[in-house]
Amino acid sequence: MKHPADLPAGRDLDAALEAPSSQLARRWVAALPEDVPNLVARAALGERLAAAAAERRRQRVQRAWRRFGWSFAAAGALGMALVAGVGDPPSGPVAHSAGGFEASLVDAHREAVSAMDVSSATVGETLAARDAASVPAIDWTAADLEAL
Amino acid sequence: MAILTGVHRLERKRPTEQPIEVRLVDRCRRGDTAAFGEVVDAYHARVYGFVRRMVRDDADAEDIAQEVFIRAFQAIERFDGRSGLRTWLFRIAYNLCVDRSRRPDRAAIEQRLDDGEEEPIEFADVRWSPEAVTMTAELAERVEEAIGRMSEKLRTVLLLHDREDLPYEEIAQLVGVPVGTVKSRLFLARNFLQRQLADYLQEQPS
Repeated sequence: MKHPADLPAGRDLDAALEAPSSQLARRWVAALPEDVPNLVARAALGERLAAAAAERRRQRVQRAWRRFGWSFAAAGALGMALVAGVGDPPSGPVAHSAGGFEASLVDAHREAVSAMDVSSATVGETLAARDAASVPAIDWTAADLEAL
Repeated sequence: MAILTGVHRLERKRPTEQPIEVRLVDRCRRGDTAAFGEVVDAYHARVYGFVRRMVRDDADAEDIAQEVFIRAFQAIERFDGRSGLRTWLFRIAYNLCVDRSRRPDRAAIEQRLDDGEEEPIEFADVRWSPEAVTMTAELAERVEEAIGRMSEKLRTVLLLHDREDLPYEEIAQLVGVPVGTVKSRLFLARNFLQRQLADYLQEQPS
């Protein structure tokens, strides 16, 4: 088996690489014509990169959903539950397990609603019911109203 | 005080003074596809040229060159900037070329250096002066053929150093060998090239 030419080492190798003959070979390689990829290949690369960019955006959205999606869904469900509870008139203390988080949220919400000046009929009924419970009933007649 | 002044001056370096490549990579990491398009425009031709000479097949070269940039785009967020962008791209290209050459249907035909007992040629004649030699189409064709006959190891180093101007240290990291090995391979590659073209040069008129 033939062996490669005796290799210089260390500084001798550096000097050999700087020798005119070695530098000539270097210039040959450096002077080779530029390679220009054809337009079809360049266009195909552009399409593949666009597809890769779309895929990356899709994966980012998926990751965001995995991180925050459950939180959004839970908050949405709780919000819907709270809104659904607005139409129910208070019927005394809510029978629920003491200390329940959901129950305390519902109670807090009902007290807040009762303190609000809301013009909806259901809430008006609630207010009327509360007023009726605290003030003696007065029978107003049409004549009484005209006298005002 | 001078050291503090220097540090202070460094800390007040304006963004416009950052290397263009660093800003380009930052934009790419933030998902700026236009920025990555600039990367492709800047390096596609050079990557393709390197790959074409490595795999010696135009169709494969186009596929691999595309794959280089697809993979780079997918991995740009993980690019840490320790090596230059160009070196990183050529590392991807080199690895893909090596993978392609390992495929059973495309076994590389390794050319061993023959007549390794010959001494390197010294061209004392002025015709062979680096400044005097003009690259002609015929010479270019001869050089390309000679590069194609080289072993993959020698060809890699020759192209990365003499064509792409990568420094020894970056080539060593890219290929996974010591700097001394890179230099040795470069010496052998140039020597091989000289001997392959000696006949051609002898024929040239003085």
